[in-house]
Amino acid sequence: MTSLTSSSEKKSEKANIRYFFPKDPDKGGAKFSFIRRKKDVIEEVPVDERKLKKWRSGEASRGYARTKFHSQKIRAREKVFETVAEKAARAELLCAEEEGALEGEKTYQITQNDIRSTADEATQQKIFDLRLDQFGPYRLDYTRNGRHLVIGGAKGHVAAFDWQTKSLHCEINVMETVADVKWLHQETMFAVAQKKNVFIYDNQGIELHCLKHLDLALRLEFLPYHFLLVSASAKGYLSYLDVSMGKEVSGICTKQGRLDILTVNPQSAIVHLGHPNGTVSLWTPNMKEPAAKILCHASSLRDVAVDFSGNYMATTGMDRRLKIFDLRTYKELSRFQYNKRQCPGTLDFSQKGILAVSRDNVVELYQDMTNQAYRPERPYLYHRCDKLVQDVMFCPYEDVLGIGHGWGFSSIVVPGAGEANFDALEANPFQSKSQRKQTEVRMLLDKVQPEMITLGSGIGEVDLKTAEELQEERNKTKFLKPSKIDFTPRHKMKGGSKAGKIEQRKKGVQEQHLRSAVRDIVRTKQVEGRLNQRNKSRPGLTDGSSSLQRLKKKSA
Amino acid sequence: METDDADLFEESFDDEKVTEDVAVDEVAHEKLLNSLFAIDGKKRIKNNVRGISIQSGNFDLAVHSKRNEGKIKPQDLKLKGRDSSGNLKKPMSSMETEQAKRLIARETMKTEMTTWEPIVQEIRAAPQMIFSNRPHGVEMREAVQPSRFKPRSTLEKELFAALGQSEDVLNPNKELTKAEERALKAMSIKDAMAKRAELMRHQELLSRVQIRAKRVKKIKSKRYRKIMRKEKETAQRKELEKLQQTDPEAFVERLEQIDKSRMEERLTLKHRGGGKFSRLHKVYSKFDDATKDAMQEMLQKSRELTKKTENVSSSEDEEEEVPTLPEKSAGVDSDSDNEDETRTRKKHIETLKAINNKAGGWLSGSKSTFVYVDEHLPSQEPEALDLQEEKPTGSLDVLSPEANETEEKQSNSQDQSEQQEKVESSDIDTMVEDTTASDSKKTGRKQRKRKKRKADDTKSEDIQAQKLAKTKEGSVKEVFLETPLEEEAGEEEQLENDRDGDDSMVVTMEELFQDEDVVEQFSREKLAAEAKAGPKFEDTKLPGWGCWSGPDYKEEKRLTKKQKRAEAKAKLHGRREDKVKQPHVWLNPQRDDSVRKLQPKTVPFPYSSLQQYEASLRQPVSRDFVRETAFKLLTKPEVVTKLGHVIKPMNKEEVFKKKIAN
Repeated sequence: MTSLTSSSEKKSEKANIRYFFPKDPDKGGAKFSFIRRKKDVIEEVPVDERKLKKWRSGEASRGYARTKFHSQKIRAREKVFETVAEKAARAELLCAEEEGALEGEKTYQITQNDIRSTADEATQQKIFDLRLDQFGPYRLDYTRNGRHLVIGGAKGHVAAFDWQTKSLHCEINVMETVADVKWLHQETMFAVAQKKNVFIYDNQGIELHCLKHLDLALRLEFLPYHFLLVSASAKGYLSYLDVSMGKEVSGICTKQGRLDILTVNPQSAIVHLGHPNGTVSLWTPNMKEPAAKILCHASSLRDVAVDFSGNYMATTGMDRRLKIFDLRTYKELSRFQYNKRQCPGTLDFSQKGILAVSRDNVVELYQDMTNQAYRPERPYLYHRCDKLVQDVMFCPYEDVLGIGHGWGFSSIVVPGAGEANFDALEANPFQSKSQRKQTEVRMLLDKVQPEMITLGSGIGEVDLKTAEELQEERNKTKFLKPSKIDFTPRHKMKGGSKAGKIEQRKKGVQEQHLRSAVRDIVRTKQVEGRLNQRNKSRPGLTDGSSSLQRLKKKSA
Repeated sequence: METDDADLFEESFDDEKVTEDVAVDEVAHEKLLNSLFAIDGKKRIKNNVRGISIQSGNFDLAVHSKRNEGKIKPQDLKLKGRDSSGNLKKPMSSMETEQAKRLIARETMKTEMTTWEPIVQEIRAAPQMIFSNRPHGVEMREAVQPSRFKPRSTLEKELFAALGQSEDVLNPNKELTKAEERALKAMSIKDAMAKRAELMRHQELLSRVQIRAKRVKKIKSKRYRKIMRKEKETAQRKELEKLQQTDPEAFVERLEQIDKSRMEERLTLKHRGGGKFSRLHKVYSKFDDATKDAMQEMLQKSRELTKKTENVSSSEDEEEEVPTLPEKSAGVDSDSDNEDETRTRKKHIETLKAINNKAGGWLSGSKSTFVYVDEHLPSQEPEALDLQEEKPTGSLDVLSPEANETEEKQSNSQDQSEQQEKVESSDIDTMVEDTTASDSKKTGRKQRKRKKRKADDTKSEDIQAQKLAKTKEGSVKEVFLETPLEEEAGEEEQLENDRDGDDSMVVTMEELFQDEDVVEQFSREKLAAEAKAGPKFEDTKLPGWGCWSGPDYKEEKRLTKKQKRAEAKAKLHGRREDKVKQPHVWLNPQRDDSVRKLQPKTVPFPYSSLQQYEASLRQPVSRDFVRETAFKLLTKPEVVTKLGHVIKPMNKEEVFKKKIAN
């Protein structure tokens, strides 16, 4: 009986199952189909206008184009731009991570021990010290994704490791003094500025290159989008080395003496050099002279830092001042004076704008320094190291500050320092090996040429200088004067040579002459214009590569 | 023709019949008329009517006859080319007719083409055109079934027939052949099940053995292999013994085979002691007797193995020694290696020591004697002159340096509220001196005087410096930063107290660097650079040329045309250049030259203004900058074609039908 009932139950179950019979493909039916919701079912909530404004990349184009057709096209394009902004604004929802923060009044009283006692275990792991008191003062560098760290002691000790898992990649002693260390585009290679030359090692500590022309380098920087390794030497040479080709793009003799202060603007890839005469000079690889010079302090400079937006620059000088400059207007925004015998030293901006300032063995962290309305008198956080601080650097995408000092390296937690939502296409802290390889290829494909590094106008603008000159040329041709003619009419009898008549005949001839002259001018201009248009597409004519070029004088 | 017309008037007619009649009649009628005139001997004068054929006339008639009136009136016939007077117009010349024809052709063509225009426009303006018969997007279908095989040739047919009859051929959609099925049917279910189970068991066993074999084959353990080898050897030996007793012939054969394999192995020279293991052990053997013995044993064995058998000719005996030689040499080598090692180690240590000495002993000692030159330690830093100068550590005010100075003069117990009120502007000049003590003020004044003297020499420099002094920068408030922790502040005070005795020796940093007037230096440099960059104008005329001269003549400063032009140009240049008019900033006029090469020289074609052009480029496209969906949207292809899809010209009917429907 039981079996019978069960079978009947099964039958009833079977009856509930509905089968999907695929339609005949030849009659327009498909076996598989993606289920799509109907459009009218989805109700789109309008995006907040403020959010949209944030994501819009600029002002929409105004007016009509030259033709109706192109006006239509431009309008359609504008619509697409608008939807792009809307998509970005909607995707904001996906950035779910929030930045850390310390709340309260006297946050500077909170020590790392306090943070460690209250924070979760993952955060606790980020607070650590490496006691390396033999090869002292250390310089450090994090990779762009913030995952790997390389430290270099002045006495030759170089170590690279994944600081989060604390797994060591390599540890070597280069048996020379080390001035600076820098990761190249990825964690597979790093450059070390040694006593004489710059060396490139891979992450197993194997020496890959010795860059002999970068001699006596004191500071290194790397421009990841241009693949340029920038080195500033003790002799005053600033050199740009293309790492992807191994070619020196430009070597500049700055004539400014020892260059031991070097920073890069992360937005424009412009190099900032600090000098003992209180000036900061801005350099591009395209010029042998600085693109700009700013007098920042009335005394020797100690360090320069540029924030992540590329709009603000912080400087410290021997005059015990810390200054913030706006790089768009080159105006000094705020000025901070330290107490007697406290001289601010190295600087670094975090991704979220927290400024780390070291003085002797102390690191102070300030919030909202670029905000003009808010001028903190006391730091946001305060940390004291065992020895003199040599280098500070914030870890990207982490609330962590790395400090290189005389007795090694220490990593401290600074809540709210790092960007909480990382863009995996830009820098992925969790990237796998294959992803790393892919990004490397894409980075190489997207490499930006060094000519694009510029202080002022961008690539999407018109060369106004030349445009103005061209306009002037054009205006000149517009006002070509027809030559005057001197015409004396023939004498005519029977009243034909009355004064009025003579004048009339003169005018007539002159008018005719003028007309023909104008016609000629217009025609020549038309022909010229056509020729110019045609010559535009023939690069040989305008460039130096023309065959006629060889006939030119070779002076200058 | 008139007669024709008259006839038509009179007749009440039935359409079609009449037209046919007329068509037939006309030719005959013409013939008849011609023949009649030929009889007369005169030429017939013919009046041609243009533009109307008989047919068209009939058509007209047909139209008008629709009015359901029995008769057609003369006014219904709208005959072209008929004058009111009754005379026909003069026929057009051939050129004129050609022209007319062309005109008509053009008109018709134009109307035909213009009907297409909106459609073409629409297509051109469309964001995307897809040329494919299939709908765009993903579509999946079942795999196409090939049609079944059909035999064609006689042989094929025969074969097919033969196979088709056979019952052992497997059908594509069935598991079993017909014969098998029949056999299954013949079997009882029990038998079938049993058979199947047996088959399955067999299969399973087979697969199990296979899997095991595979696993065993992959074992990498050396020990296991060794055991296996030994087992094999013993088994072989036993087999040999057996063979010796049972089958001596086979035994001899086997022996030969073994000998051969031995020779082969000897050829490969495996047991020379060149392996990693043996090399390592060679090194260890110096320290350990057991390993030493083992090594000896191993070597012995290798010698044994490499020894040639007796039955080989004596000529090869000489060569026999060859393999032993490397043994000896290897031994020597190892000794020398050892020596080398110690030597290199010593060398290494020596060099290390040398380096250490050079570096000041930091390698061995834990305490570093290394002094970092860059760093400026405050502890080494010279101290302030007066303790009184020190601000009280508790104050949090925003103060100007001047306020600071006034405060310095007064006692430490000044009211803090007062200080807060004294918020004044500061400039760079005072910035340099703000912290100098009152004692050093005199020297400061002197320096200022000296500066002034210098400045007199170069007026423009002075102006620059003044500008620098007056700059808006002065309005920047200075914030005094506090030492956040009281303990530190306390420490500092203590330090200061400790060093009170050295006060007279100590100078502040500002005082140290006061001689170097960086501001002046900067303005000088800036002026020089500006002069270098500006447009150059040189008066090449000889002095006095083109001027009046005489006893009463005073030199007037008049600008020549060239000078004026140069000045204007400079003005233009200046306007375009430095938007930043701050004296503490110098911008290189050539700073954008490298990008200018890449920029367009004018606003390119479809754009009518600079703003439009720049707006068109404002949106980054790459995946790195926008969302993936946005990227797809931005890089949507304008035309989509599909491989193998013929793009046919548009079907007029279809297109216009659609248009109308829309």
